Amino acid sequence: MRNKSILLATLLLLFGCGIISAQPQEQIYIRQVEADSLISFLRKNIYQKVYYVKDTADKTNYSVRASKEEFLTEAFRELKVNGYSVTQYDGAWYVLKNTGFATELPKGYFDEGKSLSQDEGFLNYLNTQNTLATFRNKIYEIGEKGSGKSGKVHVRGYVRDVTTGEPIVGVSVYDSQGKSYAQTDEYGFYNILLSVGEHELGFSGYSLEDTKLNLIVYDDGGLDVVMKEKVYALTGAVISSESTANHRSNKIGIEKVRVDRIKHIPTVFGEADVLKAVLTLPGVKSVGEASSGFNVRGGSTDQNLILFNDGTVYNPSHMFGLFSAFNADVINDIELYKSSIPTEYGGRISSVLEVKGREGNSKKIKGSLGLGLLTSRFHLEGPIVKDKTTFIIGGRTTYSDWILNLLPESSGYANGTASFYDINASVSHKVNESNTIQVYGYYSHDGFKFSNDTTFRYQNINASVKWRSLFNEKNSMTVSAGYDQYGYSIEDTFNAAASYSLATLIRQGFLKVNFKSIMSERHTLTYGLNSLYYNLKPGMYHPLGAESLILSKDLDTEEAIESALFVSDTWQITDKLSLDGGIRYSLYTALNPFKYYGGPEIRVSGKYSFTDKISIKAGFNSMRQYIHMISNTTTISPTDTWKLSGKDVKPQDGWQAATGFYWTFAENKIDMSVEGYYKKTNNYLDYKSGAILSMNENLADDLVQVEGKAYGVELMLKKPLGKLNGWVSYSYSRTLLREMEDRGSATINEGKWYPASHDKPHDIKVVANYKFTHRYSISANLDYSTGRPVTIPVSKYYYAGGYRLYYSNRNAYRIPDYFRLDLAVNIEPGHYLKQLTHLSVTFGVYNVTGRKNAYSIYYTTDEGKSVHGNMLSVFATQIPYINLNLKF
Amino acid sequence: MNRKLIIFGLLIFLFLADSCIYPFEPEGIDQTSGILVIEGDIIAGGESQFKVSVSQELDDKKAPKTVYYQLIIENDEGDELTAEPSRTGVTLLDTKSVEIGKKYRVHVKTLDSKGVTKEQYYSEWLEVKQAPAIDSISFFPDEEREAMYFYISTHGDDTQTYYKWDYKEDWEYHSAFVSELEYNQLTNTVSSILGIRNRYYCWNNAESSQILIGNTSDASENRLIKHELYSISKYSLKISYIYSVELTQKAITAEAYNYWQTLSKNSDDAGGLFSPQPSELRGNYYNPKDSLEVVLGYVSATTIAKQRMYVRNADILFWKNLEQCAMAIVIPRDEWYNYYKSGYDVLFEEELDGATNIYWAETRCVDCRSLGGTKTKPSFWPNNHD
Repeated sequence: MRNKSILLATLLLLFGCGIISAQPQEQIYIRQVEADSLISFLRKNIYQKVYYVKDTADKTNYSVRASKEEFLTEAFRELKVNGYSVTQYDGAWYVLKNTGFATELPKGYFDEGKSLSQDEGFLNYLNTQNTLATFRNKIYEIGEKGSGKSGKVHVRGYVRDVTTGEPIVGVSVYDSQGKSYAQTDEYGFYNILLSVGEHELGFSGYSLEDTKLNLIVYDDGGLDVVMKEKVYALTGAVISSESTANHRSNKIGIEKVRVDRIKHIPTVFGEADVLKAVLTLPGVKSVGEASSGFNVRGGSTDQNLILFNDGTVYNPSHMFGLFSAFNADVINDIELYKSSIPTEYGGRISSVLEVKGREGNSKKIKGSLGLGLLTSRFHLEGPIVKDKTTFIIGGRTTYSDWILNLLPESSGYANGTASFYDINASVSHKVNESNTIQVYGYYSHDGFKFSNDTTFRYQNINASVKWRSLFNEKNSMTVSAGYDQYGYSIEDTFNAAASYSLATLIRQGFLKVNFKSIMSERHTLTYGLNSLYYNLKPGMYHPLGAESLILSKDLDTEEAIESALFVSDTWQITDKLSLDGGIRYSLYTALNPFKYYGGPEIRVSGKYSFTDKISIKAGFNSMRQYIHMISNTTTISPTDTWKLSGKDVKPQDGWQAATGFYWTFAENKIDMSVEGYYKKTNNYLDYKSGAILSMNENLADDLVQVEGKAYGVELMLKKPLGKLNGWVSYSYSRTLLREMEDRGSATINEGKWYPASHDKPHDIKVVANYKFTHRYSISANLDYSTGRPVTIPVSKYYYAGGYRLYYSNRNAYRIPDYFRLDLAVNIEPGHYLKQLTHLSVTFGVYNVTGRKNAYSIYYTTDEGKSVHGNMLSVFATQIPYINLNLKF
Repeated sequence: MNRKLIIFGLLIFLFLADSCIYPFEPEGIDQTSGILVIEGDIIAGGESQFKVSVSQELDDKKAPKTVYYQLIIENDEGDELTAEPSRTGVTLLDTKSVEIGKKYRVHVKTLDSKGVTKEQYYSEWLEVKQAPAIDSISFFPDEEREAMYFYISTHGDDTQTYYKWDYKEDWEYHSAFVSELEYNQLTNTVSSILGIRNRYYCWNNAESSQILIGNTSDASENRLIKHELYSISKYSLKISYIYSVELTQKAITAEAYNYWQTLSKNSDDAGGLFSPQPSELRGNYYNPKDSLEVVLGYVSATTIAKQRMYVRNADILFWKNLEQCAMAIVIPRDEWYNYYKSGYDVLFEEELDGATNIYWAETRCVDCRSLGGTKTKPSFWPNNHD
């Protein structure tokens, strides 16, 4: 944007060179310039904010002669004479031609006139147009007048960001009478059904000024819209479209967070963290601060499908959970499905977390550099072919080695290193108006070296191609194909005779075909198929070095194909009542040895709107899961492996029934929602006492199957807009597990229900942001929850030369309650500074109160010598941080 | 390996994230006590020692309660080796007749005060495992890790793949100063002492409290080369003069190995970031009348192999003394008693200008017994001072 100002200055020189002269008596004299040059002069030399829409038909040459003080008035007088109106609003001037009733689109307002969008004045003008009553009088005609159509027709088009040309996702498009509603998809595309006649069409989106356009609709037609980020919205308000989204969608339990919001949630080391943002949402819990996994409505960590641009991410964190594996600079938003899961998703029984990447800027090269205490990151984006092909790449790395070097020599880890990096790259190509292709790649790597003899690595790889095609007004298709990989390896050369490498690998290839058809004004059909091929190497154990006596051992490769056919209908039964009904039939075939599983998954949810501010919903969802994480730790550990369902391991299945009440009040400022759910799961894997999880050929013998039930109520108050914005949520929830089989005295907890490790009944979360000015804001994050259950010993005994611990009932004790408050101050760059780069600074303190929250309570025996209780606190003090972000 | 990862993960948090571990005594735990604990292995061709006790509450500071019981070893041919009833908790039983090829089990009868059987417990039937001979024990003074590490090398035929080790260690150490005087607090006098009553040479001993196990189940041959067993801090008195360890090697089954591994994890790897959930651990004893009764302990039947090794600090000069002993001070006689009571002991006398000055120093620097050992020299000790 700054560069645009420079561009304007250059234009001024080109057009106006030699005709500007200062008179001795401080008179300014401009001769024979076109309106745009005159306006530019006002901006540059009279220091006024002037916004104006160029009227290409206006060939008038202007001459103005006045003292500097009077020049502005004089210039405006000249403009008014030639049919412009001049309005002062919010410290700026708006110069408009044809402010009267106009039935024609101004040239350049929409698609064909993109060049205009490069005029910063125009952009700003667009932003404030709604507040200018004059502009609402425009009427846009859709279709040929006299087409003779009646009834409903389709109006469709793209909503793009006016500066970057990026599609804007999730913009609500609605007619003001509340009859029709559509939302732009990930390509910024919307398709709304309107009756023939006059409409006021509203567009609202995250941190965009609400826009309303007057239409006269005659027939099917296109209307591309450019929108602009609200001028002062950089501090990241959540927006009115979100506040009304609850009332639009039929689905229950959907949370969407834009990356701007994520960037303002304080985190430990100040880096925007997608997963930590997920944890601020109601119904999402984790066992503790250091855990990389999350639990959604009582589900376990492996029951969440984490999709990053369609690819499955098996390990979503870096460095034992300190950082999330997603680079916030290349992310657009995240969407978490806690209850109603769209039929196109399957394979996990708890939730789907969709992390959506951004498309590159289609106008110009842009980028950013970020510096934190432990990590740095960059991203670069821009057009390859302007308005057709764009790219975006991002990378992150850490430089935490210096801290490890501070470890005392005697720890044995002073020579340790810990590092990670990740790279994202995406290219989007617009083949034509109806076809778009996107190629995407992601690679993340974590490497650790303990002392000199042991290294540990893990990595995620995702690659995909996605093709989207709009067949016609009513039908579209998205096809994506890709490859995902996750694996870890350990190399241990501590003892030459026992040196080994141990590795596991999951590889999967997928094909997803989704169709969307608008059948009638009341039915929209989504259908398609997914196919997923798994190739899993659960263990590869090999000797390292010539002296090693280790015997090579490879566990049998597991292979399977998981396919699913799905169809769902969004059915507007009446204006007030609507239904999303769908079925997904998943078919799973383990190939080696052959074993077949399959079954239907029901996805139904409905909504009844009393008014457009009050609605209720109910839904039922069932899910199946064929891949299981093998872990006996409470959190995702880097050495967890995965196992496919097969002859001995049944698929997990589960269902959830949920209901919700939604109310938007206080002039649309506050959004309240209450959701309740009951959930049941079967065949979750637990382990027999002393189970060996690594390199175990007969792993299935060590597994036991556990059923689970979870229920809860989530209450949320959200204020998306205003100086003070954010949300407060409270949830009461329970998650209980029980072994399904009776194994006599060995049965876990004697076959009775016991609380899951993430069962934290009371939970209060507050995420707030207060904007003092458009540049300065503070963010706060508060988290309180009941302490999680842990298993602690109930008795000690002297045995084999020392004290040993005897454990009885699983998870019978609770650690102390958890409380944490984080604060951050955000300083955004000034918005009108004429500079090429913008520096934003965030500094804050994590755990302001310094509370020593317990991560776990446990006993140790000091190798048998004495028994004592311990509390491990992960972030036991205030952790200050600073983070710099440079945009260019 | 996994354990290393756990520790490393924790260290990352400790240093990057200011994590801390605090002592914490949870309240309101529903504790239990009185669970029967049977400890000991059947040592084929040797003497077997068993101990029977009951579990205690976690904060119980008293010694474990013993049980009045009688122990019998039975084989699958009906032969029995019956021990005398024990009130001390300890039973020693000659098991020279136990041989490879037969199956054995342990039968424990708990007795009431009149000697009448209360409950009877049995172990599962056990096959006798053959422990291979120890090839060597070795040590490495690791300056970087500031500890002395001990290793075992062993090999056997292809059937022995799971090992368990115990050790007994003895060490000789010295006080910082040699004192030839002795203080008599009744008479408030000092007198010379004979060499044999010196407080300079001391011996101490300990038994392993760590669970030491190893296996060759995933190796191409049944051979361990310099397998790490345990370590002693560079600053420990144990290695200050002469250190001796007698290592006992046992062969156990895969199930027993798994038991010991879980026991060790339950006791010391709990609570960390990536620690496994502690699991309820049952041994191989049961009460036939009440299958739900928990009996703690796991018995194996094995031959044993032993080897002893000595480490002399004089050869390696590794030990570093952290016990700083300050200079001795002259104390007038009327203060002797007070000083003696507050932790001082007499060191030497000095004639100076006709007067006799008696020098005193801190007891820990003068009397080696104050550091935990005794004057009892082990019978096998390789030198001849007392």
